[in-house]
Amino acid sequence: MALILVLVALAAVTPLALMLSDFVLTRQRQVAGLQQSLGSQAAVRGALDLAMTRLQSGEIALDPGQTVPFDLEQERRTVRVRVSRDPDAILALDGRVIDPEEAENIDPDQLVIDPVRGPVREYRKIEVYRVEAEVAARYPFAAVRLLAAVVRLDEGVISLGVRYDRGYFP
Amino acid sequence: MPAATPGSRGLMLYTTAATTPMARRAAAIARPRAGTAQGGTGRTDRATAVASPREKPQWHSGSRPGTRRRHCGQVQDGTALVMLLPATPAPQAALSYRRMRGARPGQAGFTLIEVIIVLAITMVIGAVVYKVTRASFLLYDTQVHRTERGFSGTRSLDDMAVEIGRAGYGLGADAFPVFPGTLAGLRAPDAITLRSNPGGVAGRLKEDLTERDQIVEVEGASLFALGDDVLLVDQEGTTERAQVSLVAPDRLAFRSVNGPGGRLQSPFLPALAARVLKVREVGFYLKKDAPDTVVLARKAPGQAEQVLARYVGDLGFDYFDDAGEQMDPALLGPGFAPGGVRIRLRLLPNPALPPVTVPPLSLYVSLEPQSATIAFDAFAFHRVGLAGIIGQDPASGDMKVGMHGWRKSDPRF
Repeated sequence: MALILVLVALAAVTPLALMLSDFVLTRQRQVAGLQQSLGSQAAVRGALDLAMTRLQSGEIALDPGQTVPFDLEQERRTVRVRVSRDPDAILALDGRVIDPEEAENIDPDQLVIDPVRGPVREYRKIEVYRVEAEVAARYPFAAVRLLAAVVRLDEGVISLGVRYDRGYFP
Repeated sequence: MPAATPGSRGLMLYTTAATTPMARRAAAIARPRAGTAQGGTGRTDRATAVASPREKPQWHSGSRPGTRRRHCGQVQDGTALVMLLPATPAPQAALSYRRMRGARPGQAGFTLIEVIIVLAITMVIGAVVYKVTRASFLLYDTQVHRTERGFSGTRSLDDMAVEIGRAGYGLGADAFPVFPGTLAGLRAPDAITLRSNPGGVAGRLKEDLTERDQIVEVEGASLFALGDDVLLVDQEGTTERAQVSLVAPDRLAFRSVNGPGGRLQSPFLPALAARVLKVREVGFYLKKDAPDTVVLARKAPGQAEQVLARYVGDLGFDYFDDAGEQMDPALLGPGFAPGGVRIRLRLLPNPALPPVTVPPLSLYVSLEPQSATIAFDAFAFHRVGLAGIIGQDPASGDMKVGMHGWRKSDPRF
């Protein structure tokens, strides 16, 4: 009878123990998922900084329409980076962004004089780059992808917008 | 051949040497009863069966010492003791015999003490099992509670962090990307509204906009649709939330969201570089779901209000500038975007579940620079703000950068 009782107790407690272990694993997955996400986000952000540094230094030099990929090997994760150059654009003093097709008759070096007699550029030519950095998905963690619009001017390389996406990308 | 020692009627002891303790004890037990034992005939019980050694031998036949051969019924040399019980019933003698020999399988049983002991053991085990099971269920409920609290908190933090990280995307810092308050435009310490323009849809006013539903020429009007949520912004930092109320070729009309009856609260003039931006606003705020239940809710355009966590004790946001110094939320406004936001979230235990300790959560989120200012002269008196997004070109399907700029010149110019 005691043996039967012990067996019954085991039958009652074992599923509970399994469920409790499942809870522990769930909590572990939650924390690991958050850590993985934050880590991946930091990794792709670091890749953007590196790409901008290489653009600044001239290590990456592209013509419009060209793309250069490179990988960053980090501990337990690889960041795939693609830097592409879009057609150049002209930025006008009034804030308009002029497409290259419309900018054929524009002299980017043209100067005007402002009311206090200072020389002011009327246009500025900007090189436009796309930076895509991605940490691939590793089940059960989703991929993290960064898309950044970057421009290069005489004074340096600056970022115009960054977005992070999480999910499973083709 | 040892001599048989006849006892009283019906009892005979055959012994060669009753020297062992067992033999002496058997003899002592049998002797006082021997005189009263009466022989019986025709009885088939065991006592009868053993009373006639010549008819039914007591021991297995064989040639080992101490056994009797069936054919002669004699006791072999070396037998320590052969006891013949009386033919008539002798209960005590039989009992003593059973005790001496032990219980046989067909007559197995438990004494009262044994049963009581077994019952006591069973009750103790039952009590232990009950305690363990009850503790297991309590632990189960506690862990369910703890897991749910942890998941709700983590998920809420993550959701807010993603939206904070996107704040200003396609808008720029001048468009008030982080509003420390509710979607209705009320400043509150336990609410945050995050603005972005993921499609990069922007237009420039070409005519003065002063009234609701006034149709004005807008550069880029074709990018907007009726009912779009937009933000009207000018160079002086005036911002107003509005909706597109009419769409015509190269022209749009607007109604204010905050103004009474849709009336605009401020005029927007091309002379002040007024522009219109499609905006996606996501708000996180506390509300009461039941009389005593505070929930953390999220509202995004095109989606129903979503409850991220129930039983919220505290929600707060700390704002930091680019240097890491804490900012007064009252200073946040157009042109004054924080460099980072720290989310503080404290969830309470669910009162319907076993009590658990829910640790407060905190997460610092850096805001990305979602725009840049480009100088057009050596002293940066003449500047242009520029924001960019990466989107899909509708014609080719390729990814491409979309940009829009706005004048940010010094007011003297």
